[in-house]
Amino acid sequence: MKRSETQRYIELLKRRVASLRVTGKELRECRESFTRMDLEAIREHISYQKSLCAEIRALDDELGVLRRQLAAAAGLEPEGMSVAGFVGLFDADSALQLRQVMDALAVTQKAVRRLNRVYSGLLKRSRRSINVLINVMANYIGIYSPSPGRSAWSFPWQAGM
Amino acid sequence: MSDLFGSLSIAVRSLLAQEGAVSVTANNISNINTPGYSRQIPILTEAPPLDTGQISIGNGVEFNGVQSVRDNVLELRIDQETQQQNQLQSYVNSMNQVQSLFNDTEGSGLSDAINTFFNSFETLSDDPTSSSYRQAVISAGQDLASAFQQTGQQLSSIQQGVDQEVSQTVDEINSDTTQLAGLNQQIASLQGNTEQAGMLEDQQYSVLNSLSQLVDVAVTDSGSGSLTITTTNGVPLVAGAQSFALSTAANPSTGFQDIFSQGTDVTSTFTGGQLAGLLEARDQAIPSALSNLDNLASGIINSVNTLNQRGYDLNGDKGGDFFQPVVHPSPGSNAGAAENMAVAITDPSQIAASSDGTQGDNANALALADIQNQAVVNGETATDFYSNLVSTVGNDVSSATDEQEAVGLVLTQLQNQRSDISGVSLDEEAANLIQYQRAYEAAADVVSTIDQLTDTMIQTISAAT
Repeated sequence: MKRSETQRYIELLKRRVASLRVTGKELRECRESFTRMDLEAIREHISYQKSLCAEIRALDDELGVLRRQLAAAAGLEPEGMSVAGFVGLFDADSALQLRQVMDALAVTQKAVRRLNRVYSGLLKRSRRSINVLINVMANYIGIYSPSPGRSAWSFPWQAGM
Repeated sequence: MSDLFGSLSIAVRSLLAQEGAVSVTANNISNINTPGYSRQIPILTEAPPLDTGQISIGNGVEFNGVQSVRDNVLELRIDQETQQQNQLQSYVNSMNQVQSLFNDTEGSGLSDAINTFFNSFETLSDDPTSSSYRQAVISAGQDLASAFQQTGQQLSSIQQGVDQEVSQTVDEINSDTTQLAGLNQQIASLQGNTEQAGMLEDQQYSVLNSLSQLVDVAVTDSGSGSLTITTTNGVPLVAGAQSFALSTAANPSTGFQDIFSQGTDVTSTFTGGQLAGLLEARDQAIPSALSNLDNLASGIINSVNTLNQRGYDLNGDKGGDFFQPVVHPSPGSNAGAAENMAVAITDPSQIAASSDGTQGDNANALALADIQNQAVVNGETATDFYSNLVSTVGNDVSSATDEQEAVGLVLTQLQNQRSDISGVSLDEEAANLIQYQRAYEAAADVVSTIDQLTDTMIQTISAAT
């Protein structure tokens, strides 16, 4: 097994951990913007979150390709290969590093998953607030419609209604 | 045309109006840190004009009281989320106690006790005639029974604690609804005194907020500020000046308090607030954990007894029950199996380690040890079933905690919005104060000018006469 390939794999995993940590930080900051209803900040956060997700997806693709290459080089079938089997492809030093990064990844993923659950709960409930406002508006919109009696002549400011 | 005295009257009314507005501003500023206070605005209206026949002349300003600034839609959402938050909080508080019972290090140690018990049979298989190994099996069995008993008893104790909280919560609900009925009556009797009504409405919203923490409520303004309050499923709580108290009575079959409204059992109708969270924990989550624990105990008891009966003891006699058999209170129910689990034998020689009656045979001891690898309840091994039970409780608490956090954030969001609308802004009040002060000074100038004009007029008239 080429050491450069295994090191590259570990490096990509480290970048994935780092990106996930930034995503977690972003989710925390974005929910603060949500509680302040700072729409401009929310827009910026969401845009950044999108780019982070794209980055993580790109890393996943690259990791997938590399995993298949590493397995093929060892003459193994990449599909259905166990974690232990995959770690076994690395030399002792790299295997230790890989395990450490995978542990960090598991912890970070768990934290981000939790933050994401809370965030989606926040969005769901904010949506409910908006729905309540829409229902109230729908209920009262009739009051502000032009009355039929006034249709013969209208005030200038009613033109757009 | 208005005369000088008419103009003086307009100026004096203006002075009084600006004075009233300054009082409102002062009241707002002094209540800046009062929880639940909604800022007030003075209602200044144009006084009815003097109609002199052909033309109408303006007649100044009138101070028509104050109005609290409040967004009812926002208040509704705050109430909804408050109900959710308190439901989740009371549920999580109760279930945290349940979760700690199943904690491997701080809990009852059930997982270790299960493993130790089955491992003791494996050790016995090394030397089936060893009295110390046999004694170790009985001790491990007693430890296992004790762990099940303790877990079952503690679960029941948590359930009873939650039941007491249900009664306390119902008392608090009744106290709030009585207060709200009293406030309804006071507001209705004010008949247009907007300033005092505003203060009472603030109190009304404060008590309503407290009630929303306890139970799900649906509020209808029945006119003149009087609120009709029911639960979301229609249980009446307050109508005008009347409150409808909830009562509790022990259920004969469970022993726990059921909740009644005017003679009807409404226990299962609550959907939010602290009460719903407590009822969910008491009537669903804890019974589910208790039932799973009973099923696990029953599965182990039955499997161990069945195999012990198949083997032969140290004296070559047919084996009997190792544990006291499960007493089923009703067909298919294992209720009480955990709390009543006990080892049936006291004599170590009665352990049926042999499968053929010979003293050195260990086949049945190995079979007994192998129970830990076999399905004993719901097609799962004892360890897997217990792990699933622990993870179900853990996931349940974890998802409720996450939801609680999300609700907390939404509440902060809504309270921020409420603060924007109803909260007192010192900057805004300072600007208003300057505006009213200027208007007051201008009105005072008008009074002074009219005074001078009147003086001039009197001097002119005096000179002429």
